[in-house]
Amino acid sequence: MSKTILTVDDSRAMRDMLKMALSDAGYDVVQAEDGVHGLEVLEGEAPDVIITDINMPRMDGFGFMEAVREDQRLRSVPILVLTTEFSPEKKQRARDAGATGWIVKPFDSEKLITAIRRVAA
Amino acid sequence: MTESTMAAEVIKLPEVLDLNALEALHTELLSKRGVHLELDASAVSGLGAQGLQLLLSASETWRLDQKSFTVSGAGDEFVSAVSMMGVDADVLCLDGEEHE
Amino acid sequence: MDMEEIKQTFFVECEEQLAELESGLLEMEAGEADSETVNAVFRAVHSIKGGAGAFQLEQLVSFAHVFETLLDLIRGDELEASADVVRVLLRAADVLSDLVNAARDGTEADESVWQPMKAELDQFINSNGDTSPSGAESAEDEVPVQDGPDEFGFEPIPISLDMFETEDDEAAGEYTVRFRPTRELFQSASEPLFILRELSGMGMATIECDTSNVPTLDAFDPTASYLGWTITIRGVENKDSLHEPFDFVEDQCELEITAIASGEATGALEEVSEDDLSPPVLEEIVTSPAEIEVEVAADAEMADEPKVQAQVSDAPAKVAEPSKQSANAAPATIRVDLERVDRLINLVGELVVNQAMLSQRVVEAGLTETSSVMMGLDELEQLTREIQDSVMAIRAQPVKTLLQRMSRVVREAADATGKIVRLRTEGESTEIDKTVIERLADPLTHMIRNAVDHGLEMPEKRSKAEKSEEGTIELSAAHRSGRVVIEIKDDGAGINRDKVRSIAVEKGLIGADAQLSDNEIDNLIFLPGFSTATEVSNLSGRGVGMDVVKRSIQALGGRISISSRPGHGSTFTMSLPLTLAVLDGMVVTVGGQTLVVPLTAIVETLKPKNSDVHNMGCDAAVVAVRDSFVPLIEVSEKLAFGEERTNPSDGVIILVETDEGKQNALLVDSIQDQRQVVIKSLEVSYGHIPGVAAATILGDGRVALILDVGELVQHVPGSSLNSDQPMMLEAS
Repeated sequence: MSKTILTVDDSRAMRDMLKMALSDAGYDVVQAEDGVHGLEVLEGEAPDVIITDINMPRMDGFGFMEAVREDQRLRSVPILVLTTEFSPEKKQRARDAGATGWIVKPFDSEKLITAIRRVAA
Repeated sequence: MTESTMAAEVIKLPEVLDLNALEALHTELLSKRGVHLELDASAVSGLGAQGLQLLLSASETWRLDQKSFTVSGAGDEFVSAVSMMGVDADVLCLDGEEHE
Repeated sequence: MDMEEIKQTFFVECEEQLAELESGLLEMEAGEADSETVNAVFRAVHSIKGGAGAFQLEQLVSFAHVFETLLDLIRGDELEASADVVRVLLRAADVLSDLVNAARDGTEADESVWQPMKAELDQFINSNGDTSPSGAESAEDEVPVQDGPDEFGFEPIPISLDMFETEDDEAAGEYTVRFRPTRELFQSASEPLFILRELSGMGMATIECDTSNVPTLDAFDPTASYLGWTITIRGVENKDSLHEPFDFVEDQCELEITAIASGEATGALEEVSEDDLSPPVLEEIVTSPAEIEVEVAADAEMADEPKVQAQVSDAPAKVAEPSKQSANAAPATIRVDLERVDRLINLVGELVVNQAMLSQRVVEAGLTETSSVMMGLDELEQLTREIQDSVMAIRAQPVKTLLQRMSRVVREAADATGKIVRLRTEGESTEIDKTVIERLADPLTHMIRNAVDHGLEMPEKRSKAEKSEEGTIELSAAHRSGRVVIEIKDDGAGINRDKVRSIAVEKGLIGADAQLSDNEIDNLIFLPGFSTATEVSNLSGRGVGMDVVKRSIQALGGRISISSRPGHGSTFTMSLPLTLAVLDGMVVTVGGQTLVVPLTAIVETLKPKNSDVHNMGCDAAVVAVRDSFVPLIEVSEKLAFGEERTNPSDGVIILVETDEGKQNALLVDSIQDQRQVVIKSLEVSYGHIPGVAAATILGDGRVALILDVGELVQHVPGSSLNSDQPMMLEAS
């Protein structure tokens, strides 16, 4: 059974790029447009990995991750954050919010898949 | 001497051994102390470090209690995870091998 | 889906982001912005930068990065968004837009514009770096080593001992990796199995697990971390690469990587060997750096961070917070290919025609008005109209982006002419057919530029006239009686009637002794050939006269007029149809043919008497209408329909008015009907016919040409331009 990845990003171009790279690598992809939408999707099913952007309207990545971690059901789901730069404070902030790891943009497929395989089967 | 004549109780492990499942398993194991135990791992899809350490703890506990502890039906993923994490299969009595 | 398609999507999104950016900055300029607005502005630039990076659009990335950095300072309350700053941001947004367009079109953006802009932004950032935000303590204040937000002088790097290894050891490529997770690693949902998997893939690895710390079940805490690993790995070329698998967890474990040959572990962990591994001590050593780091990081958070923008409750769809919502909270939308919409509109148009034909045939079949078939047909007609309206509405878009684009035009025009101008817009939510919006952009731009250039006075002149130095242009859009009315109003000096009149005379557009009302003089500017070289300024360019603007508006089925008050300003009023696809018209017979005259042009209809008609020489006639004489145009003759000439008293006169208020009398044989018709363009398949705007299919299946009244009355063969003017002779 193939693994499912939830991607949360308000940019359609970014969602498309992620979907392309992840599908090629054999993952099933579920998408959401921002944190609020992401939580709605998560009510339906728990993915194997979550990839989320940080800067989104309605609910940003930090808020989203915090909400995810509050859900007992989802406490062990690895979450990767997408970001354009990652200073130590940003890393810590993401960490505090519940992130497992990060992917720096611009990413290539290889980096993306390596990051996923570092946190999930 | 282990009382190998007694039938072992079986706990069927769930497919996903995440922290939630492990916490529940931990509680269940505690309640089963003192009997010969078999963990049926046939449904388990994967094993991680947290699962491994619980199994190791259980295995050691049962050894000290002088009751048998085996893990049966372990699939390929389970076995290779144990191996990748540098633990000998017989420490956990995989494949139902009893230990003294 | 491939990268090219995704790139298209990216550029479409850029347009949306740029619109958000402009809109947010304008709110900031007007002092109406709150923190959500600032966040949205930041996100817009951040988004563009992120995507640009993925497509390796270097220039765009580097500019956007600086822009974003400045915006980040503002949203973090480290820099105040004063009026000066916002002005700079607005200019930066314009430059960003240019860079996006250049990237999309594959052209080079003007370096002489964006480089200096980037430098200007840099300056704001750097000059701000010297001043700490008042009141808020920043990380830099706490830690002795302060170079900027990214430097603690401290990195949570695992305490590795490689500095003591000899070169020989490194060359051997054999390493020992000791790895013991803390409970934090599991809390973050990391999994040592995958880390070990990645590590073992980097060479020949042997993995040993230290289980000595695992307690019995009664003392066991599932959330704790009891295992540690020692990995011996051979054949690794680059030692640093061994850190990669631990990238996410470096501060959540004890990690020690040593080259095997040296065997000596010196440094902070020297005294620690495998046997001595006592968790409490180790955790103390290793967690204390983590603690410091957390502490500092926590202080860095004291600057405002974007708050969670929605409460997650039982109803996650509910967004509940007081601050302004961006357009993303608006009703659900879907994207549709414009082609599909056009097809739908076409089909609906055919449906309307078909329904009309059906009605016609039923009538011809002689059914009575009250029969159930007729009633059914009435209902069908209602339904068809509703469908048509709904479908037209799909292509309708708010004019907001168009109006916003104008603010940039105003900015640039003001800069170029040295005037101080403020643009006020109203009616952003007014919806117009998308194609109309697109074709309005150029005419609006010209008119706005004109208003700034010619309408508004220089600041000094304004203050002398006791006006504020800042001129105002009001741009509004509204629905009025089934049409869209757009007004551009300036509070400038108004039309200089003497000058306009003399130019018109000079150019032979009017006779020297022609007597014109003020309003007629104002409307002279719409005449072809009016604008001259003397009108050229920095910005208006050559030959972009108001006549071109007028023709563009008329081509859209619209009208334009001007009214002006000297010293107070001018107002351009444009009225446009809601859609280009249908038209209300009067169906008439001309020389045996059926034509349609657009209702918008019609003033009234008359039944003339032969005595009302006066000949004015070769082929020119006028008809008396109340107190004045109006040029009479015999449509059948104008369109060369044949030899038969209509006797005025046998025909009907349709009095039409062009947008300048010029009246003409069209002589037709008879009036059939008034109805709404679907416009079918001839230009694509046939070409442009003077005097004909388009065609339609009537209920009986016949094709009828739709008159282009404006062209019709202009196109007077063999006569000079002068005779096109209303000859306001007093009736004797």
